[in-house]
Amino acid sequence: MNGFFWYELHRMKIKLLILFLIVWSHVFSQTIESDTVMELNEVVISAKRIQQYSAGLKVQSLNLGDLRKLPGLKLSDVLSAHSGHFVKTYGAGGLATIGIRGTAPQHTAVFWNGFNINPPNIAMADISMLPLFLFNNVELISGGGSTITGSGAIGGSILLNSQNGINKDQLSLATQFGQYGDKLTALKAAFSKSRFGFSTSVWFNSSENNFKYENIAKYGKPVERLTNADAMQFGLLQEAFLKINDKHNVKAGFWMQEREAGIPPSMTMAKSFARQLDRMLRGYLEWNIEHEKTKYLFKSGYHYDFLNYTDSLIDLRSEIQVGIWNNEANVNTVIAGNTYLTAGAVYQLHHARTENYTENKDPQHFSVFMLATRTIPELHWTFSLGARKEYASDHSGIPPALSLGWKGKIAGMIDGRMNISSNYRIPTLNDRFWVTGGNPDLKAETSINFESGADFTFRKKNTTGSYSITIYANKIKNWITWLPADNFYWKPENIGSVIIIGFENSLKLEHHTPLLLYRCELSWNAGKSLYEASSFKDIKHKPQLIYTPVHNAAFSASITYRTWELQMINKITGSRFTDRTNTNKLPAYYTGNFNLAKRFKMKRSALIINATVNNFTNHAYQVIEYRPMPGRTFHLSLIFDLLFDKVSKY
Amino acid sequence: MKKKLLIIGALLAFAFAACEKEDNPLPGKYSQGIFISNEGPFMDGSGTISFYDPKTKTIQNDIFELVNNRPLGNIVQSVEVFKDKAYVVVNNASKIEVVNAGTFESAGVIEGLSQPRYFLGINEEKAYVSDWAGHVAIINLNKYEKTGTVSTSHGPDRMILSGSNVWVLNSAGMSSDSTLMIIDTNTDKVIHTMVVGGNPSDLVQDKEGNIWVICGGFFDWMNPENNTDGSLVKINPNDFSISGRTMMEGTDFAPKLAVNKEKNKILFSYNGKIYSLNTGASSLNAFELVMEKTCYALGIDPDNDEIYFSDPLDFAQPGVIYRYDASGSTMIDSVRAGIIPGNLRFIR
Repeated sequence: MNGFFWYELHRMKIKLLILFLIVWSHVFSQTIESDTVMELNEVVISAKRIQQYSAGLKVQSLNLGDLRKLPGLKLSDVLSAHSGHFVKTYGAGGLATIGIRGTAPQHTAVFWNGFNINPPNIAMADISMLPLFLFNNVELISGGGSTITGSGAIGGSILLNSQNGINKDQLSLATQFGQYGDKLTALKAAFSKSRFGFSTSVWFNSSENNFKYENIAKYGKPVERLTNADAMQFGLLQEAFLKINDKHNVKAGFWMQEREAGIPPSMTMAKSFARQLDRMLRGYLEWNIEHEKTKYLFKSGYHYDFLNYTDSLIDLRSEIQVGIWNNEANVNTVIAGNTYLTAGAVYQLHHARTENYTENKDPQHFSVFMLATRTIPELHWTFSLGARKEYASDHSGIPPALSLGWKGKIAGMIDGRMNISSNYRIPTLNDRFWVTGGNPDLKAETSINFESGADFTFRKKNTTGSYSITIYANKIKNWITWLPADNFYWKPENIGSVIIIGFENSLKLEHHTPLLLYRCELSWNAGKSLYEASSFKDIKHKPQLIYTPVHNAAFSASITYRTWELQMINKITGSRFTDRTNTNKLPAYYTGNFNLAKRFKMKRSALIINATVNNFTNHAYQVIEYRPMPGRTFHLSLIFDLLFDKVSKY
Repeated sequence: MKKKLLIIGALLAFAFAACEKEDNPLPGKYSQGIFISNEGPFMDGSGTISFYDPKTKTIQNDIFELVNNRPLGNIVQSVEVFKDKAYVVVNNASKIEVVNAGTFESAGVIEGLSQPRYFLGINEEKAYVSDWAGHVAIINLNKYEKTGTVSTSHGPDRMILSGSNVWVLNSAGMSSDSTLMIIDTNTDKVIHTMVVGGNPSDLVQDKEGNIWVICGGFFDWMNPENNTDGSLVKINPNDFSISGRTMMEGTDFAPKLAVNKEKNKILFSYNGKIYSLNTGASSLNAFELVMEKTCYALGIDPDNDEIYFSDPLDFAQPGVIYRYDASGSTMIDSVRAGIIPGNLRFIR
């Protein structure tokens, strides 16, 4: 019978591991001062929220205002183009995950309004399923963040915030058309009175994704159309805000979405009948109490994900339902003068229902955390000390997380930062309980992360600029990998250590004349992620993790003339090894996109028309081996805004 | 005069061609050695074919892409040589790539298959391909087309030709099965179906004509206590009766079977061990341990009875091909092939 039966089972296992992706999240309301904001491409680095995180971490905040002209963007698109990190995507409409600083997808914690939305069965998010326009703020925190964001934040964290304040009214209708059946219709409305506000987003989008490509794996290398790649998604996000009085306010939200999509064959397969249905429901209620020096937050949220995977070719049907009931209380207070403390406790009840486990799983998790921050205003310095301890009913030996950070002015226009932390990741439910192979004896992964960086800013007449550099090093112990077991089934094991080292550079320039605004951004990140490396002496001879490019570079430029804007975004992704021994690699690839946007402003309304050409060089490339990517593709989008007195983003 | 020269030239050319053919039936660099089919990485990757030369102890990997500048496709299940062509069965790509065996230059492709597993040449014009879609496909070798199917049970897999009959194991595929079918190649009809043992995995024929089948036993993933033991079965080819059976301890996903040059001794793998048994032994329990090794592909060199087997290691890196002497006591060579080496085909 050779490997096929075994292979199929485990191929499914891997697919299910990887494809059982949906989403969830967490927010830290905090205080204090204003900060710096660093922009990598569209990024603004704002020191406003420094106390939310351990000081010294690199924080990138996406400039969503600039991205509004592209309503069809998914979180994966924008992180791929602007984050400087590698987004591993199966192509248009397919699964996409991010590996921050050379880590695995499981090492990024994704939060929505303060709730961790990585499903507990796989602990990673499919960021291609998150429409960007839902969010008012997206922050990417690179580096170890377990003290604040808990399990999984070894590579970094993504914080998605969709909550509206009460000062922003908005009614927008967006539509997008593109090649290969791409259609999007979205409505976003936000209104508020003095004490009450609400916002609603509804959307529907679909695509056939049946683009043509040269099948290099077939006899005669025929040009074929991608099949079974259609996708359909719709959803609703509703949120409300009530200011009870000056000290009390309540927020609530409900988010549901569904996506049904085919999983296309790779070039090396004849066909695919695999389909996947993802359904998610999320809801939360939070209560904020704000005193002069102390703020309290109590919140509770429930996050449910359902996945149904079928493949009629091999008569496979698999379902899984997972949920997390998440409850948190935290306090943020001024201890004395310039010393602040945030402390909190989180209780989570997870549940998983699937025939792939021998029994229902309902583990409980409890964690306490604190972050103390001390500022020295005269030096513009901030220190932080963070700690977290988590307990789980079904897993012992979860190590504490600690962090120590500093950031501050070094000289004139130069800021420095440094952070060291210990972090952890609890094995997923699939890792521990999947039949066959689940390993209940797995230890939690632990990491020591170090990073240091500097940010330079300058301004000269009509020109401003900034340059940022970061170096980092991580050692991740007990790295979990699925390996074949004795009897030809797969089983996850703690294989040893992975060492990651690298650096990140970004340069941003902006120049304006009375009529024109020029902007350009350049970034280059390089990092080694070394499998089974136990010390830094192993750097030269240990293999690079698969699908982890050493180099990622991007260059973007835009010219704005009155109401016109022309933008070009270029990205180069380095070669990626596809096997553990580093004998086979995919070549580096380049993609370039153009946007041309025109804004019309009328009395009480505004219209933005944007034309986009993606991959304008029509370059044939593969992010994942033998998964074709779209060639040159055109899209047209229109965004109509009804303007209110209070409004105006444009 | 010109005519004479032409005739002489043609005769000489024919003579040289004939000589070459006689000395070297598969002209080209891949004429004497072992083709190894490597399934390839999971998900979207491509399998490969390696070629091992026992004389020089060298291996050349991924020869199909080397020669044809394109990958084979997802899950290279097996490779078979019939006449002057090699047939590479690419399971998840639902095709068979046809190449000139000596050079490995692409000569065509057989499509229209579903989940093909093994190719078996019947005659100049016809071949069978087992297909987990639940049939054996009938292939026209002149047109490289599927012309019909013979329905089977679950997961038709390995086959051998004995006289005008083809013996097909129903290896279970994604289900469970325990049967073997015999197809008359003249009529393309199943003439006999018999139960051999849980999940039959491999078969060979000895010098007496007996068919030997190794079965891995049934698996119950959710309740392993329901697993059943595997077995080694000997079948009389004349009346299709089971003339001997021995039970193996535990289950094995894919035990392998090979027969020596004289066809009087078989080797089989089971649960990390390789055993031997003389086909004339009075009891099938008389098998002897040859070595304790992981074995994913097993073969015996038809020239000298040297033992070859593969270890896929972690299934993610190039696997190892081991070469031992006929007794299994001395290792002669070990080389790295492609990812998950799954089948061996000796070319002589």
